[in-house]
Amino acid sequence: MKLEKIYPKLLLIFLISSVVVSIIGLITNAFGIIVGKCIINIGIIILYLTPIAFIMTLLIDSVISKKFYITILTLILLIIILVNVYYLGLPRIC
Amino acid sequence: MLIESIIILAIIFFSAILGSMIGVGGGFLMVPLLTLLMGLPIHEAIALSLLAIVAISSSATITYSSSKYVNYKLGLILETTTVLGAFAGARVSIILPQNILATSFGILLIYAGYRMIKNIKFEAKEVGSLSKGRIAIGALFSFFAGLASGLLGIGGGVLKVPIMVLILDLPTKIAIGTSEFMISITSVSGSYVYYRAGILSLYNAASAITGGFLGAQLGSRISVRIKGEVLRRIFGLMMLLFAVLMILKGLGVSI
Repeated sequence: MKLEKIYPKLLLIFLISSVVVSIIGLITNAFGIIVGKCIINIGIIILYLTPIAFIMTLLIDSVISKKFYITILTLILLIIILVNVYYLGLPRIC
Repeated sequence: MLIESIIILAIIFFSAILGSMIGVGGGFLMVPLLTLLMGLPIHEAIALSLLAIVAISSSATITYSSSKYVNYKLGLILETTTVLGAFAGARVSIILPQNILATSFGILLIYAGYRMIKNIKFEAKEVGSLSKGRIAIGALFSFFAGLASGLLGIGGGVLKVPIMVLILDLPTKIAIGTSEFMISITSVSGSYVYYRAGILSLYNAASAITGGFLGAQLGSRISVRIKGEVLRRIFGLMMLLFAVLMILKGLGVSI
């Protein structure tokens, strides 16, 4: 896979961003700032996007390297997830 | 509120360290500890556990992906049914009474604890060409692994790895790596249902994310230096103890 070196870095960036944003949310909330809730929500959404970003990278990689079986599988998986997310409702920041 | 968040962070951090050291998500520790020690409702404990597992398994996927221990093709096939199971399991869990959930969790914990103590290793086989029939059976069983994950707030690796090794003839290391990749997606699916249902407390969620990620990072580094055998047995015994306590809680016996 051509993007093999990018996967770990991409995942790590998402994870660290989520942790940093969550900590900021916790601290702001501890000082009684209402925005804290919204910041924590952003942290959660970033965390939820981590595996989705990973699947997207797999999708891009499979298209580039013409592995259509993987392309179809990733598309099916994304559709299942998106349909369920749509059914449950999109996340709200505030 | 702040003290509660710090204790929850410590519990999840500790569970993630232990889990990562022996190659499991830590959900089997988090849910009982949050329920029995913190007195959180089991639905909230499950929601927090799933959220922490997203961070833990994504962190583990980084390691396994770099070592090329992930079979993406098979993982994606199995994950299509696992995700459906996780969504279904989480929706069922929300409407189930606490005592039924606690008892079910205790029963699954007995199996997981027994496996941990006996250290059941599956025979590594040659990876051959997989028939469509076996993949279909694997996908069907994966649905139930997803169901258990969404229902009880576990990663489901304890079910996914045997499915991949015994039914699909995958070498254990690749089965574990593929399972971690799958768990990161499964736990997001289950967790999102709880998040949208408003069961996830935001303050505790921030602690779960932070504790899960930091614990997984530290645990995977310590695991290189420590012999897993003794730790695995201690972990297994803890699981059996929690199993009894959870079943008693489910039956309404005050602990």
